[in-house]
Amino acid sequence: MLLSHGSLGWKLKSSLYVITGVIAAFLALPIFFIMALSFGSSQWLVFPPPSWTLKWYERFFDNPQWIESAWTSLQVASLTSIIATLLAIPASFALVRGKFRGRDYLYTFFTLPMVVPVVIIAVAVYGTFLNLGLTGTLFAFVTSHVIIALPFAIISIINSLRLFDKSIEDAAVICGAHRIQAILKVTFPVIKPGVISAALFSFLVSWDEVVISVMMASPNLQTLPVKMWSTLRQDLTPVIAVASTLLILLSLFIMIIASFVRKQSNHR
Amino acid sequence: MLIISSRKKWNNITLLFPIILFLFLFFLMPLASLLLRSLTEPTFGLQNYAQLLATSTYMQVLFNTFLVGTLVTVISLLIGFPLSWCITLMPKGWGRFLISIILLSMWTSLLARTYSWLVLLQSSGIINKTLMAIGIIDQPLEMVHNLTGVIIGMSYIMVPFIVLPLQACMSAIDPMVLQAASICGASARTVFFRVFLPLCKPGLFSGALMVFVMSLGYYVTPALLGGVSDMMLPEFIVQQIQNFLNWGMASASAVFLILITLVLFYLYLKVQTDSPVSSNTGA
Amino acid sequence: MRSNLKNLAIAALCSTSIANVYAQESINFVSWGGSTQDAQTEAWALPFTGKTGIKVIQDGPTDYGKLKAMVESGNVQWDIVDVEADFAYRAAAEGLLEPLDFSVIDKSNIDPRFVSDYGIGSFYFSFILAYNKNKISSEEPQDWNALFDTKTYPGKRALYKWPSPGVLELALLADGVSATNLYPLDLDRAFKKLDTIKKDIVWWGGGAQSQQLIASGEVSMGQFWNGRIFSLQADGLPIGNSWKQNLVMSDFLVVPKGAKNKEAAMKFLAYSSSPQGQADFATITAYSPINTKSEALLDKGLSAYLPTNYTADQVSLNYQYWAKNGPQIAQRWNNWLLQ
Repeated sequence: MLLSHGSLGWKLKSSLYVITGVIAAFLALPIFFIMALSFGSSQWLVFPPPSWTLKWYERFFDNPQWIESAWTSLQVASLTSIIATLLAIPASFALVRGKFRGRDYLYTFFTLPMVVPVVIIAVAVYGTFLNLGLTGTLFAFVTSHVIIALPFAIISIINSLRLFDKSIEDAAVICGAHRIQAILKVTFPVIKPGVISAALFSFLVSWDEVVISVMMASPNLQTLPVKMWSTLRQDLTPVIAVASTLLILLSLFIMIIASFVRKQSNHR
Repeated sequence: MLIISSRKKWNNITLLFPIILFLFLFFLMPLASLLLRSLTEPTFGLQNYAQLLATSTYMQVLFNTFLVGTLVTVISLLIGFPLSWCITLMPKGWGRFLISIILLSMWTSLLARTYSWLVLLQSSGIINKTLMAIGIIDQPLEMVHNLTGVIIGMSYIMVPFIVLPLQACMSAIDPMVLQAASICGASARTVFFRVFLPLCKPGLFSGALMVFVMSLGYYVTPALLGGVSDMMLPEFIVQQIQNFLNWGMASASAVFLILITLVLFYLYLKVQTDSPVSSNTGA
Repeated sequence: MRSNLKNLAIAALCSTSIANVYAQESINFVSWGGSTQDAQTEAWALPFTGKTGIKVIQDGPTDYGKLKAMVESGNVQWDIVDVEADFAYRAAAEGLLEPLDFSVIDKSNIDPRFVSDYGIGSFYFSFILAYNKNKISSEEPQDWNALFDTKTYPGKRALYKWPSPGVLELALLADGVSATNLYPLDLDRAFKKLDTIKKDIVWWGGGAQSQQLIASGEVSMGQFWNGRIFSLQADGLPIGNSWKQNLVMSDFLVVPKGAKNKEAAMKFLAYSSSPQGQADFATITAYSPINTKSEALLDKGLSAYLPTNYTADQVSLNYQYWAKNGPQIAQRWNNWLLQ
């Protein structure tokens, strides 16, 4: 009765709905607020603003640093996404299919970067890259981002792989297909949503990473969150709201792709 | 069966080799050198640890860290539980709509969300203005640059991490079980506390522990929304490095934080009942 | 005549070949980001590149931890770093900096407060008392005493949150210590004075935040960088300020030990500290030039907003004292804050 829509008392039900409404507003508020703020004319973030304007958008697009850092972010996030996924696929296969001892421990090891505080990873990795003379390179950015993206990639792929009935693949092999062929033709299409979400997750993790990126940044290379972070600390400007709005739109775009992918796989 | 057993063991090892090598080189080695640094800078020995434990600042920072972690976990649970329940109850379309709001907030840039709260919560911000216009308060509430700001900002970030596992757990509960309990004469309250809640426990527990662990390591949100007296461990580490140039002390406090996190993560794994990697369908 | 021509030709040849070498040269300039760094780019980097052909790559924000780590690893990516004055002395003592080459940099006109063997002023500014006029009902506050007078001036106070020169000094001044007897700082007395308003203090960690606090009225008054107040006033906001006992602080430009483009960095410092470079920067930011010759080049209307105009009321913060005692004070400071 507590889980069926019809049989819940109206008192409980209405109070639950009210609470949920408030919570939903709480969750949506900052997102819509920041979008509105980016059109406000007040430099000092007075809200509601005296008038509406597009000048902060002009400022954003006029400043080559914003555009450059967005471009760097895009490169870093794409590479991170590809590498993390490529590392995660074979590892997930080995973990789910393998019959060796200690698989749980390995899984724990792979997901560890998710729980070790980012500040610590940042400080540690920075020290190492500095000694190797690699700080401020694209390599350092991507490598450090892959570390924290891996857990998300592994979890996504493993989850979809666990749901896949391996006997189907075995059947294909028995019917004469090569194992690799079977994996590509039979298994991969089924776990494709998991792989895609691994790639998307990794992309977003990298795209949004602040603390490590601030450490890795160099004169020639900084990502969008680094630019936002240093601006945020120094200047109070609605240009941050513009950058935020554009980031939200990108997340929205990626979510729509993700749900599209999910729908397609459901239709199968 | 024949095919499966014919797969050689080294096959798995080759598949695992790249990721293990990668994490060893770029994750374990740096952490190990950090640990080493805490023991060798400025001179070899445990003096960094001794000094840490001796200062009241560090103890206070540790206390703050746990306080914030606990409060954020409790509040995210209080928000996340009714939300998950409602999503499970609602007609599918509405439920999906709520989940997409959660996902959108989860995947919106962390800096953007924090910045938004910074402006929303300030004393001349829209929340204070609204409350004053309605007449609930006549002095603006102080909601930012203090503990309140940190708690609001961080709970906001953590709610999705409660809702997603909890909602999955709830939707897996067979409504018939609850039905059965009430048919047997249990009151709604009894069904809730004795049947429903225990069934949600795995979801609640794993969500809460995850949130707690993540809260301990957060830097950006407390740095932007917090005040000075609510300094948490990550900020302390950054301060040691940036302001005092004390890598040894920073490394020592980092080692502490890692240890705490690892212990909690171990607990988290213990709570997960089934093996995370075993195949659902069996071999 | 002929030899003159020959000399000229050689000189021309040399200068073109030098220009060619310069064209490939570049330096990395690191500052705090935001509008200050934009101004540094405009006032120094662009004209410098135009003159010498040396490219200036901007990086930021300044991070002392990174600076130290770079020097220790021997892989120094930064050539010039904008740091706080007390840090410039401390870093020099720790051996993190290159000595400056004063055969390239002309320090004869530099205010001696803002130059050392290892650093030269970037700009100087004052911590001043500023208030939001809408939040003040009685007469306008005059000096640091007003901060501690919560009866006459209710509301929150904004103070700079880092353990660096400023807050302790202003507390002591308000408590009646004379400007000449400030150092060594009486820490007990300073913290005791601060205790009286501790619950009313909102700490700010960066310029943007300080502006937000005072512009929004979240605090009624506080301690601010004069340039930040200038830009609020220029925007027409109801912000007032007092120059009485303005506390002089400065940023130094330093060259990390082992910087890869040391020579070019020295040339840059020569330009940034020149009368013109300093005057241009002051015009954009309302921070004061460290070169005494710059004032003549400034617009007359601007000087009302510059600390240079209020030297009689100035109290100079002692960077050397802070460089030496900073770490101990910081520990005490942290303890006090977290109590």
